[in-house]
Amino acid sequence: MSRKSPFARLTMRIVGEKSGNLDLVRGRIVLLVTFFVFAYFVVMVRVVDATLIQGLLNDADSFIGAPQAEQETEGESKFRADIVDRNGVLLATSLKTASLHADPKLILNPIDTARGLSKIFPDMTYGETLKKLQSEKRFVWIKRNLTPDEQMKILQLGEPGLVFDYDYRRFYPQGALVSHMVGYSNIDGLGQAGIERSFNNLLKESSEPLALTIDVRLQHVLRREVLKSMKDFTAKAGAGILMNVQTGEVLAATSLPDFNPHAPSGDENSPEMFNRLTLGMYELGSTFKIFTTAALLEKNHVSFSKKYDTSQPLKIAGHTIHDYHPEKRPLSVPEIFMVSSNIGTAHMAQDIGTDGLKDFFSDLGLMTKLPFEIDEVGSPILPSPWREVNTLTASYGHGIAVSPLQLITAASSIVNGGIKIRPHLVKQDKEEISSTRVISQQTSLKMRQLMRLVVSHGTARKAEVAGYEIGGKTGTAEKNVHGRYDKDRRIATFVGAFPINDPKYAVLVMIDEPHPNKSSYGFATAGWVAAPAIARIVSAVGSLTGMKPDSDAVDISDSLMQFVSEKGGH
Amino acid sequence: MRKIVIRLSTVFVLMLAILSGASLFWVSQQVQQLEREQRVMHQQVSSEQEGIRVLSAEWDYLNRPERLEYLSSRYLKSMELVEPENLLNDANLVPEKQALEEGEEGSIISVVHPVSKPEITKRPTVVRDIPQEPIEDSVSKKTDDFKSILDQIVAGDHE
Repeated sequence: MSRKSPFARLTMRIVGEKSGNLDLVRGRIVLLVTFFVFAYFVVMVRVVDATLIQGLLNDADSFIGAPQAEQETEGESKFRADIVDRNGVLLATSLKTASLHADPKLILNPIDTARGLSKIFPDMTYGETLKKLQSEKRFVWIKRNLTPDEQMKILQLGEPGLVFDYDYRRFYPQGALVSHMVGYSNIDGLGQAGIERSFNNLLKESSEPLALTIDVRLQHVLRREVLKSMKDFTAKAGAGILMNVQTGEVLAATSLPDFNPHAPSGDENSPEMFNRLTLGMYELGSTFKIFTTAALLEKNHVSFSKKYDTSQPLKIAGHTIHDYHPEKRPLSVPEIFMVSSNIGTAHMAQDIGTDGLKDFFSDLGLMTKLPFEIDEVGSPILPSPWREVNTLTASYGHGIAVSPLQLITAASSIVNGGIKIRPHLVKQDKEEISSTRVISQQTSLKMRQLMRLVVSHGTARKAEVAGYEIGGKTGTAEKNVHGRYDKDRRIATFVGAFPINDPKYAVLVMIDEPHPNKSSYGFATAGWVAAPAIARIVSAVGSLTGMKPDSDAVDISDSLMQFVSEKGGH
Repeated sequence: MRKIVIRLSTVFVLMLAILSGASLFWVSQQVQQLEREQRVMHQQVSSEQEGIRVLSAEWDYLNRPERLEYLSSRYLKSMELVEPENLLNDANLVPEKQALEEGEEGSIISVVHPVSKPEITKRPTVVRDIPQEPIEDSVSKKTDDFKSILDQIVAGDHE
């Protein structure tokens, strides 16, 4: 034992008879001691790790409502992609909101907590909150969808029993402005109407915003003016569309009354939930004369000078076709269009024939359900069976009901040079221009001349805006109530395009059940109801889109004046 | 002698084990800490993104055409919408001052004659009611806190 090493005892030698046994025992003791020393060392390392390293560094995320909780729910999150307009303005967005629930077992001080909560939320009473916080349950809802400000105040209460849950909630910053097109989604994050419904799966899975062709500025102008007309003429409902005539992009589309997408009416049948643009089917009256006249010019190659006798009401199969303002003389084609003669148009339909008119209507997409990006699209109501009398009434828009969107789509095809368009709501990177031709360019030009004539000299003079050269056609139809046409319930429509020399936009305004007022001298026809709204819309849209008014533009209807007799031009 | 050799190697192996254990411990701690930092950063990024979403929603909410129209009608009283007839295609068509002055008297634009005696022509300057107090936007004031924004969004049209 000369070496005084610390391990000297380990090498101790015992001599004697049973030294072998003792060595064995001592060896076991050393093994045991080594094991315990090692075990204590492990414990020590774990203690340092848990208290100093893990404990101190994890301090940051150990506050109440730890964000780890939100990550757990990420899988079944109700996030939906944004819906934006053509300029990127938000129409619908998902924002993360906190909801508050409590675990009454963990509430330290129910009285103070209830007092604090009732102070933060004035609509919660102290007593009720206190009752909730003292209940036997382990989970009680306090409040859903908190604002960040409220959440901050709750955190300041410092109550460990109050727990936050995070989820997304849908917000519509534009409110009711585009409600019928955008639609709404329910509390479970499922789209219930409009784009929200038809693109439900895409919006749930994608994170990229979905851009629509709508422009909120134009939408606002359209909605404001349709609303004003409805108010001025105490109408029941209204609708309006603004569309690019070449591409079919729907720039603005409103159906009034509309709803607040944050609190839609639960009743599907309530008037504000009904999309009059796409789902509503209406007999749109004289606006159909656009198509009948176009069919006549296209198929029968009739010249403008051809005259039809409108002196007698037309009798067929027990029906009598009257004129609203009978002229009682033979009228030329432009005159018939300008004064909107039912008799004259019915005679035109006789010339075209039933098959010819049906084919033409179906080329324009008036006979079948229109393909469109939202689900709320209705099918046209057609006469069945289609007899000759139906051809005659359909020629001036009676006995056939289509949606306003179908009407403007067909009218756009007539004025844009004769190309069939597909209306759409979702913006495409590159707008495709269809190549399906419905009518020839010459017919299209003639139709634009006729439509210009209606505004410059005919029934829609109130739609005139100097410099923008609007052209269009009015239509006032009596509503069919329980199988009878009611003279006091009308639908006033104007469909047109501007500038008519080279159309860019098509515009439609439809007012449902307008009532005459003093300023309209007792009239509630489209010329008095819808046409002034068109003028207001066009002058606002023109300056918003930077379209220059051309005060020197040639009035393309001037050359038609030779076919209009003095008496006709009123 | 042989025993010492064994002991040295044992000590060496022991040292190596301790060293590698310690370094393993150190590396794993580093990794955990970095992961923790990364998580915190991710949270910060996503909370910033959420903040941006809220702000852009608020921006578009405050810039609703309806509200802008209301504000401009309230505070920009001397400015009106441009009517199509006010627009001219050609800048040369804008009447010149001189021509007007010579042509017709008492026109809206009155020009001081460049003669020796400076005359003071009275201009009809209409001072429309300029707000005395600094323009305050009651609507945006109301919506300073996010609660009322949400309330208004939920309540729908408030005008």
